[in-house]
Amino acid sequence: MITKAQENQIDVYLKSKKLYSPLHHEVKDHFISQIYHLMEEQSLSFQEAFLATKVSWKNELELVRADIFSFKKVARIEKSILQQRFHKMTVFSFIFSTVAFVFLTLNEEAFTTLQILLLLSWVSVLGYSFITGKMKFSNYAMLSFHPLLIRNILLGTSVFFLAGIMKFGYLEIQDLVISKIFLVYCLTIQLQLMYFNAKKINVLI
Amino acid sequence: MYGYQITQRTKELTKGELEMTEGALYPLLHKLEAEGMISSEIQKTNGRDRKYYLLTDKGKRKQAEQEEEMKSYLFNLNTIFNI
Repeated sequence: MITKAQENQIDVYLKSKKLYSPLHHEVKDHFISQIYHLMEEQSLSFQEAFLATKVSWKNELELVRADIFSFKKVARIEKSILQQRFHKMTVFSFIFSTVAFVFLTLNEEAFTTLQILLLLSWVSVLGYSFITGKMKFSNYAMLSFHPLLIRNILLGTSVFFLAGIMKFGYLEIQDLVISKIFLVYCLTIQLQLMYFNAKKINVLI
Repeated sequence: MYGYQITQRTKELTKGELEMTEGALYPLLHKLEAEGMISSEIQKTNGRDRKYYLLTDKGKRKQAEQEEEMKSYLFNLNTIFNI
């Protein structure tokens, strides 16, 4: 049987891996079960079983950069979960932006309404998150400089740079359809980030 | 079933041939949960939280579908190599 003190030792070790709360509890339960079985089946002491478990999890719990555009370090296992989530968010935003593009080509007024609705939703969700305490200023900073947005900004900058090379004027660049689509993409990404954050799902890195 | 139980059951059923690493297991479980293939519930065990995963109806349908595909694939392989 694992004692409370031993459980605390496992907890301290896992806390150093900065896992997001639900994953922390899941991995902790896994650790305890694994250590317990090693102690039972191979008659190991707690320290020996704990060490063996740490070794078997070494790769998964190694701290790596969460993203190429993030300074935050997370455990590799958490990074894989985050990357899956980000992939889905990117696909959703891409599809949404494509639909917005179709709106724009068919009916510019409808597109403007869509943009206003998106902005209103953004302000409402942000306000709600701050009022209910689901978002702190530090979260907002992470949201504003999120790698998914930085990628979009970099892509946008390169498009404008190319447009500049192709001798477009400032006003022409400002009027480029692509700039409006980038804005829609950014807003949908931010809305999703705020939604997941409000649901206490880890997305801020 | 919970995470550790899944790894142990896999090892047991395949007599140690197939060992599922934790690094592959948890991201997969979270992905399947997000897709609605499995659901989870937290239960208290020995004073701590344990997350149990259950197949949803959607998951059961997908499992039956994949099982059929796999059987057909194995049948075809068997037919080819037993000529």
